[in-house]
Amino acid sequence: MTSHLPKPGRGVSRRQALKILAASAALPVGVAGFRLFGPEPLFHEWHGQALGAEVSMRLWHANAGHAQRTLLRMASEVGRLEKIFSLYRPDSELSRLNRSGILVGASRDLMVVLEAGRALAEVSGGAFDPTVQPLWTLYEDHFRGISADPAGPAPGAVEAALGSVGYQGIDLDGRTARFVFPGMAVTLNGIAQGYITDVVGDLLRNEGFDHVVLKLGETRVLGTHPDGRPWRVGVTDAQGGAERTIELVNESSATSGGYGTVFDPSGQHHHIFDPQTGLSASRLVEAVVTAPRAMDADALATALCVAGEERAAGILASVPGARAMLTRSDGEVVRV
Amino acid sequence: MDSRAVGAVLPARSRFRVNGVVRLVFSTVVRLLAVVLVVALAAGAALAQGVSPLEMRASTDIRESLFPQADRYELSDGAPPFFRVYEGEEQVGYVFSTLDVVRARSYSSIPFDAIVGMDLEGHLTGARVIRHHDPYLMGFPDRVARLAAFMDGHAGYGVDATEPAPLSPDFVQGTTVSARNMRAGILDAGRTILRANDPRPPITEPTIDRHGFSWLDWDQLVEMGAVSNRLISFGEVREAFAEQGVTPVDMDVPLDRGSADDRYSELIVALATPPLIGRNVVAANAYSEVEALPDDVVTLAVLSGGYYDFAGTAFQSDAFGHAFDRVRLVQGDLKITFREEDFLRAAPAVRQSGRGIIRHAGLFNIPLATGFDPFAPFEVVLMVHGADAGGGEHTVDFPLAYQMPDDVVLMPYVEPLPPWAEAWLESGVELAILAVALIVLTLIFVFQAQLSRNRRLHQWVRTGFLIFTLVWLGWIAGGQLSIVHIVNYVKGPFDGVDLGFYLAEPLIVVISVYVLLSLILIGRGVFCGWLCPFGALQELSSKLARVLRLPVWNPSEAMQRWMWLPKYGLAALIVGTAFVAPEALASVEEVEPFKTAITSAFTRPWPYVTYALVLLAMGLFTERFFCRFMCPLGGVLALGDRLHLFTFLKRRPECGTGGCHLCERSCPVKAIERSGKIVMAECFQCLDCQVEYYDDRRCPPLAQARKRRERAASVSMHRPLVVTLNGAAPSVAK
Repeated sequence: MTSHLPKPGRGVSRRQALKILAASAALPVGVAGFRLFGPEPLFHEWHGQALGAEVSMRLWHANAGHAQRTLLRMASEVGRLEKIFSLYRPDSELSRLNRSGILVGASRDLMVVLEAGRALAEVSGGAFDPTVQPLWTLYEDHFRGISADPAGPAPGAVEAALGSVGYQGIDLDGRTARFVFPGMAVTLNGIAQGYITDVVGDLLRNEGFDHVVLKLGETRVLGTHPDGRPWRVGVTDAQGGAERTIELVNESSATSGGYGTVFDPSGQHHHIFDPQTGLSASRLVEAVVTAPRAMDADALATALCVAGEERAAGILASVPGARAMLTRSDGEVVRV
Repeated sequence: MDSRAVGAVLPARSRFRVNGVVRLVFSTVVRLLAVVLVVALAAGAALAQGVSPLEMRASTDIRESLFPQADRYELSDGAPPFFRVYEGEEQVGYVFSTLDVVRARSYSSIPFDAIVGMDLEGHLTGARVIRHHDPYLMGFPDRVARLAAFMDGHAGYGVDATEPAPLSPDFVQGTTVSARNMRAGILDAGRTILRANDPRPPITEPTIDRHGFSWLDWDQLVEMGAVSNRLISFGEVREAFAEQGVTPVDMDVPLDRGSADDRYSELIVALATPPLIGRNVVAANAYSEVEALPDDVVTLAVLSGGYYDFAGTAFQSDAFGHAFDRVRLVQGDLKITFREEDFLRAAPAVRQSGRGIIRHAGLFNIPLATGFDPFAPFEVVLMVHGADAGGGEHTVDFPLAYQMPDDVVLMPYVEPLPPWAEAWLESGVELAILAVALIVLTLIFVFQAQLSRNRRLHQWVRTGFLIFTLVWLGWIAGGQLSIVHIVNYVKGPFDGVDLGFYLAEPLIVVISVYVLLSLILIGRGVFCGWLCPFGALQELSSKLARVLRLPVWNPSEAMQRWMWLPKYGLAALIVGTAFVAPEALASVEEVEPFKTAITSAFTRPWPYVTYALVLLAMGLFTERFFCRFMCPLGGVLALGDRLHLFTFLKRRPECGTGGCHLCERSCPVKAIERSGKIVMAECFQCLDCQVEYYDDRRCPPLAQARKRRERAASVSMHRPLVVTLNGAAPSVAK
């Protein structure tokens, strides 16, 4: 068994040592040659629609067939998750849960997102709360009317809707999700997209994709640009332009601002509700959050918009690696 | 102008005779179904919304902006409600609301409402969005204005059009989804209105398009393949007769009428039944006769220019039986002679720009009962007759080929394939190559005894297969099975399986099935030793190291038993992480260098590449270091190896405990213990031990037997036979 080894005691001869060194050095040289003259990572992309938004996946890989097949597989994964989370499909798990207040035999994905939503609500002290859907419905119904009161729904109605709001009312047990308060409904808008983005991002990372930009409702990047520089991702501003960019490496970004979905022409009433008051949050114009995972980034962005600048640092500390860029109502931008 | 022509078509079509009753019943049923469907939709919309009636939403102002020339609007009875728009007594279009017809949504979950104008052909005249709930539009007057401009930009676009729309949804910056969905809803509603007013039977087989029309000039018709033409010069006719050895002296158009290059005749052929061809080739009054024909008759348009026309005079004469003697149709074995009763003279509508004048045109009706297939290619033959000096009749043929273009054929709707099926179709070549490789590999194992008897052949076959596995399967086809796949397969049932996710990798699916079967039948070695590209890379590089006589290091048997264990631990760690901390899975899986060295062909960032290089370098001195001690995929397969049903590897009583350690020493991965037992979980099925087993120069029991045989043979040939008491050869014989 040890017949090929040099006899003990004599040590390795100089000739042998040189041969070992040369052979070990030849490997990196060979690989360097392979990198120079072999296949290069090329750009592949996929476009589609999911959860009512335009979505895309872009990646760079040396094996075109593998890249294309992987994109197809990710597309079918997005399709699977959409059947769970879409509010546009009346037969989705989320729609069924919101309708009847209880869902037995929910998918693992739905349980994970509800669990995460509850946990993120907890750490943000309730500033982010996935159960604000009754407020949304109230405002939407109010402003749909022909001669809606521009001041918003009557305080009594807001009070009543608030009675159905509260993440503590999400009861999760095994594969059963249940709402404790009557009239409760969840909006996973944002964190569901974040979850889908994370699932696909994780799958792609598992498959060894190092240069990826995902825009599946939320933005997440893997690694750097193939040139080695950070990804430059456009951030939509209040005017809908995307002139601002932020640099990302291996992380996600999410933007939350009252301008996103407004109910009235003045823009005073919008979709980011303060679960404490039942009114649209007004402390900040916008919060841009970067975090390692897209679901966290989205929940934090919403939470910061509601909680305001003073509590921002505390809330951000709950997710390691999270940073934020806040826009005050006077237009001044602060980084946390 | 278009609409007038179509208006004329409808009464014409109602004149059909043959299967008119059937069609009438059928179209009524379709019409009723469409109405029922549309009523249900509209009723649902009305209940949910409490919408005001169409005449209030589609205000006079809006209607006038969509049809400035209109004189009156007539509200349809029934549902969905829509306006018929009239100029004078003639209907010119429709006005309808998307909310009434399709209840389409844009970005909000509440449907939007657009009032749409459309002409009778399905071209939009305009669309006004009167109500929407889209968050990215509300409170943005500039975007709303841009959306309106976007809608106006689609005026003239057909709801059935296959060409791309004039504007991209990006035109409405910030709300492209709204713009895209609104356009889709408007087109959808337009199609529904169009169908409800002209129900066409659903297409179940390729059908000639008897409706689609647009103006085309000669060049466009030629480019589409809608017309075929052939120019025949005096010279060609002369030559054709000369080939038959005939000098015609009596012809309808004598050959001395023009010089060799002059146009003797020009034949032009087109299938006139589809209006896209027919209405562009012959004048409208003749074409209306074509439209009046039943579906089982097609019409061929034949046109000609030059001195010799296609019709001649024979068809007018009883003597010829009213048959055309200058043209006939040939399709395979089918020959059709045209007769007067099938013929209609027509005025040509098409002009060849800058070329000879087309003088004659005519339409021939061909009942499909003749066996003529309008979808298949056919020839129209122009015949030129001439009599020689002796009065003998001679004919020369000038055939012209024609094939109906795809543009006028309606194909039945085919459900698009799911993405994974696409992947299988696109991987046809790869799957074929893989199938051949797997058949070869199976044969290698079936005939392993024969292969192992020939040391040279075994070496070449094995090295060749490993090179194939590394270069084609690994680097080119990307067919490296990995622990990632195992994790996906294991997790699938827990995560809610979407089969498409797994099926979208045809090569991996086929390899996985083959590996599972081979694992149950023979063991893990079939994959690890033959089908793993990274394994092949290690083995090939270590073969080079052996050529360079680099030193080899292997652990002792006792130490090796311990070193075999980490791969199981790593496999457990990865599968466990997949369930407990999925977000850390990617990092743990990086223990496997497959994606770096094989799938990405070393194009990943340097830390990964360095790791793969270190493993390869270790493999130079310790055969398959990664496979034997670290590979988590190997660990999973080695566990499964306990199940294998057969062991083909042959042993002798002399192996190991019998005193011989040849195979044990020659086993490159040291899977044979000192006792001679092969540890199947560590065996890579390289068959090296079997080569030794059959080698009668190296395997001691065989070598002894051979020597004995040879000695016996040499004794018998050269020396007198000496018989000893115990049967052994006498030592003196040496």
